Amino acid sequence: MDAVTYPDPELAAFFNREVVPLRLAFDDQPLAERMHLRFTPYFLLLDAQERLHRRELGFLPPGELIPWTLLGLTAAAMYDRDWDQAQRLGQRVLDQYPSSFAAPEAVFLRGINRFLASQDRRHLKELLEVLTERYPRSIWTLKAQPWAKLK
Amino acid sequence: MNSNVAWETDWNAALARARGEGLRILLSFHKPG
Repeated sequence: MDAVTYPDPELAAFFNREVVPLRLAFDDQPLAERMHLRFTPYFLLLDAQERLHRRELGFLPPGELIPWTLLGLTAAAMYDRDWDQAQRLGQRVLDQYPSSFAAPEAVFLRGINRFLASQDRRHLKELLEVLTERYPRSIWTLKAQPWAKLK
Repeated sequence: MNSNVAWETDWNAALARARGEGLRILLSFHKPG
């Protein structure tokens, strides 16, 4: 991470602007145990009330860690039932990192957020259609399969 | 540390900043060296 990801200027600007970046050693106790750490690198997205919204194990390059973090912020906005903010954050993944591993999940969450904001189930079917076309092998496409039956 | 990220290194300071600035926390655990 120190050789590739954290020196990246885009990643540094994103972290410095949009989150509180906190760096701790793997043996910083009791936090490491409280956060279920067993290996590094290990990332967590938390809110100010210490609620966990996303976590990940293993190296990520800048072009993956930024959209991964955006999805964590999306999850935190969903927890707050701020559907508009959640949609904006997820959309940034699709606009800026459409080829990232985070992109299929962003499509999934965007559809979920549209549904939650409107209670219109067509958004669920639409998200399956988009995923099937753009990311047919993604697990998020698999997770959306039940909505194929919606009319 | 080869990084331009303005890391916090203290849990309580990060929480205070998150509360004060309305931000979430990105926590990165690392192994020194």
